[in-house]
Amino acid sequence: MMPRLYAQARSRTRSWVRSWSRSWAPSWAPSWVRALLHHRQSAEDAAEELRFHIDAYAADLIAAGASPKEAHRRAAAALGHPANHGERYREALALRLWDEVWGDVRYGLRGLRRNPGFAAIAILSLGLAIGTATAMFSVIYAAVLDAFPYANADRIVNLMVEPPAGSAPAGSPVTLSETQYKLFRHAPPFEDALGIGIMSIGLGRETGSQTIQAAFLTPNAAGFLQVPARYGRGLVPSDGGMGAPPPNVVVLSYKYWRSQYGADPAAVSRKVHIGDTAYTIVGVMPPRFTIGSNPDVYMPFSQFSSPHSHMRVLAKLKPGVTPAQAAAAILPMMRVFARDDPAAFPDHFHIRMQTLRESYTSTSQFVRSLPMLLLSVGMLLLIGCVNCSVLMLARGTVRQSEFALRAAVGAARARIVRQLLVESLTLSLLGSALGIALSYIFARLPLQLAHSLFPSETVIRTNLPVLGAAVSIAMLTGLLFGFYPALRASRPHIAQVLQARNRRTASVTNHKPLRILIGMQIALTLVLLTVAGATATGFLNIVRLHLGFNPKNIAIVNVAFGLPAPWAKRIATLDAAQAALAAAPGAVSVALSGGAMPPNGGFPATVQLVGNSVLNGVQIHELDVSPGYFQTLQIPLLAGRIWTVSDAHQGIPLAVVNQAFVQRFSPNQSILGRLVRLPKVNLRKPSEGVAYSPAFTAPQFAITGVVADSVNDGLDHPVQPELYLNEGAMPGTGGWFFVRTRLDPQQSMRTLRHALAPFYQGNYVVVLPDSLQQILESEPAWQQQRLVAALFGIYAAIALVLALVGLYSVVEYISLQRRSEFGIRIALGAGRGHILWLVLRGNLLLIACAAAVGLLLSLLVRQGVGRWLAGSSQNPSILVAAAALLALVAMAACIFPAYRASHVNPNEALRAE
Amino acid sequence: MGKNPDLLYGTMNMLILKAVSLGPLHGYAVLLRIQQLAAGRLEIQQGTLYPALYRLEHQGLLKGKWGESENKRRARFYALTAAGRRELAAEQAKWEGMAELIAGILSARAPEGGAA
Repeated sequence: MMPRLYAQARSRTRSWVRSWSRSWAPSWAPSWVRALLHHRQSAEDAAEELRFHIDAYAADLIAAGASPKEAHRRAAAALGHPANHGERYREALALRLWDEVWGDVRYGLRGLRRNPGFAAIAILSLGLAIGTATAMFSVIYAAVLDAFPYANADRIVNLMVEPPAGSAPAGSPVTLSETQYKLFRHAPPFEDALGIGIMSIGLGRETGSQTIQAAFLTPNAAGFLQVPARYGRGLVPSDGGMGAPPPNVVVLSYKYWRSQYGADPAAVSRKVHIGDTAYTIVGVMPPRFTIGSNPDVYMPFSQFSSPHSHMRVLAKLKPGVTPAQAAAAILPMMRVFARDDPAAFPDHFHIRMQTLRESYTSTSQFVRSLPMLLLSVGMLLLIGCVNCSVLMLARGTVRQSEFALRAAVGAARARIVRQLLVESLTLSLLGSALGIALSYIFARLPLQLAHSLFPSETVIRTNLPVLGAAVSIAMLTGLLFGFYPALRASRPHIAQVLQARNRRTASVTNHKPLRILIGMQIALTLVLLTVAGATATGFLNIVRLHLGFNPKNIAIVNVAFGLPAPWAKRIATLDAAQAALAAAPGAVSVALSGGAMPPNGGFPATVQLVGNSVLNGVQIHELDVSPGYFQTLQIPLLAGRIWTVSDAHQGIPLAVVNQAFVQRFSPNQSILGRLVRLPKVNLRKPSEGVAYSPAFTAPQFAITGVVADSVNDGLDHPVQPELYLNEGAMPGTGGWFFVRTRLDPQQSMRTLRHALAPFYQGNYVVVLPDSLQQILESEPAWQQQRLVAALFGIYAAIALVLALVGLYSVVEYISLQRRSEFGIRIALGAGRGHILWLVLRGNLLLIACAAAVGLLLSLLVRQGVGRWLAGSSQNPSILVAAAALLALVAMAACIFPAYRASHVNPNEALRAE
Repeated sequence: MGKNPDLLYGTMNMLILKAVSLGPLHGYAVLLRIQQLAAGRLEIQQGTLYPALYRLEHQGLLKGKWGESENKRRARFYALTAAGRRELAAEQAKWEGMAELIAGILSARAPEGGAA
């Protein structure tokens, strides 16, 4: 009999537990839910109830004359075995299945603990495969599915002006003046429009000591974007100060706040100096707010005082209006703008409108390569699954006697299948935990390697869709790799297995499925290896691409005039700046350009070649340069001459063309001395920001020379015709200087900045933080190629390791099973070489077959590689190299177990049984 | 009829519901009440009582609640819920119909002049 005091104490504790637990499992919850949540408590309740019953019955028996001891024995016996009651209780509550599955899980976990090697390899294989898949999904989610944090981002469109087909460049963003913007934002298809001015500004009292990018937003920005500030406040309409003197306020972007203020929330309300004016920091924006080309700071549009005061626009469509309808509706208004300012628009243009996401996905090379990336991730997932399947099959064979025994004592087949499926799901969930951890690392890689391929709003973050995807991938893989081994293992030949336990000379198992799976894995690995080879070669090609110019050791400086100046003053200022830069320590030579940054050349200009019907009003690349441009960038002169410094000073309208120009427009006639007209140039009414030299009397330039082609339409496009004009004839609002330095340009930045000190007054002077080589390396094509090379390299490496481990464990496992056979063979006089060959023979055949299948698959995938991974190499020698590498690795995986098998000690092998 | 007839399958639930319908009872009292109602002619296997109680509670026909027994001990009392009351009525009607039917069959006599 239970001592009463003890029972009371227990009952007090329990009532405390109950009152506590009732608070989170309401009494109206179904009894099985409560039982599940309070497994322990419910079981104790049931036990207490039974104790009460026994005591009460015993008391009656005592009253009827039995001795207390006898009474209790009989009372307990009448109720049956206490353990049965717990089970019946849970069965009554339909909890039995849950208990059994939980038992399966615990049994599976115990099994994994007993085989740590098996568990580690399986979890690692799954973790790597699930990790890459989850990472790919989080990148897609962050960059494509949910990239833009702005209100109604699916209705925000940007506008491109596109010239008729055949012109280059294909399109450029619409820019508007302030007056045009006021008309534009009230156009019928739009709810509203946001104007963004983008400019580099010098920070600090001494202008030019630090240069940052500023975006100037029209006063409606807060309502248009509706992204709250992280700290302080964003720009508000009153900051716009239409008419009234604007308050001097600035809002920091997240990246600038992190890098310059160490992520200190107290940065808000501090002051910054831009020129001599102090501005108050009123807020910090969140990381995904990067509108306006990912600037450092945001300022009200009223502060925008750039000489090119045109703004870019984003429009928000009215609900239900498609971009195409809106583009058609806005075209008449744009035609009016084009009539007022013909130089800003090409002839016969049309307007293309795309939502933010469309304009990303339609141009992004990353999005284009997604099918191939997803295919590879899928293959990797398959390889990881196969690895697990192989391990499970191998282990299933070892466990055959266990299952045979279970079946012999009456386990149903479904029960064994369930046990194995629960075990594989447990494995895959453990693998997915590892995979989710790894995916954090993997998912950050694309943004680190190739930030220019993604919208700047992209921030990789954990969220439910991503976690959900990871777990569903894990469940899928668990079922995928677990199902076949489970089915096989659940049908043991009981008698055969139980008898064969002691005689393993003849294998009772069929190794064919193992070999097929391993072969599949090898074939898929070969496919990944060839893709990796193609992308890596493609990246090498782009690194070694013949650019036609030398981007090494080029620093870039921008000098923009603060106020529009007459022609002579512009020439004098630019010339003095050029001389100052040339005299700076470490500078080798200096060139001046109108602003295009190789490998993207020139601005769109409509051109006529006098007396030529082909080049008649076509838009091509045009760039204003100083005569030293070709020497500094090391672009060789092929024919004729380049205008002289004196020609530049006088502004004589002379031009040089590239070879592509000659081939396209005048392949048979000499081009030298011919005239090109610029029909859009109106000498009486200069387009905004431009001044014409006195010598520029007619809008035409005489061609004096031909230079070699250099890449001018991005790294992944052929060279376009280009027209280089004497910069002195029509200097713009400033110039971009390319300074060739003796050493690393990074080391010369300070001296260059110093050399330009006299020009800070009245001008904007910016020494770009990146050299031309760095700008080249942030080109989307370059980054894309590097990214896919890195990604496929990683995928192939993972696949190779997984295949290696899989093959090794299978060969090792099979030769372990045949250990006593080998022992007997050696005892009977077989040589070590013979045993070695015995093990290797089958595997060599397997590797050869798998490699053949893999090569076939690679040939199939090649088309996809060509379409989705532009720029990767199609060189057939990659196939050969990949196959050779795979064969080598596979051989290595086989040799070691084979060697061990051939050194079996016959005595031990036979005695071990 | 012997002292311990086999309980017909499914009648246990009905007997429990009937016993409890007269007022909340703890498990042991349910047992005693059934035996009392059967005037000692029916002995219930004690081991089957509690699984039946758990099942009925799980099905929402009974509601279990901790209370104090006649000798001041904590005991779990079962009371009939509304669903339990309906179920009891339905079971009872079914049982009576069945009993009547079977009684009718058993009391039938061979028709006069029928083939031998």
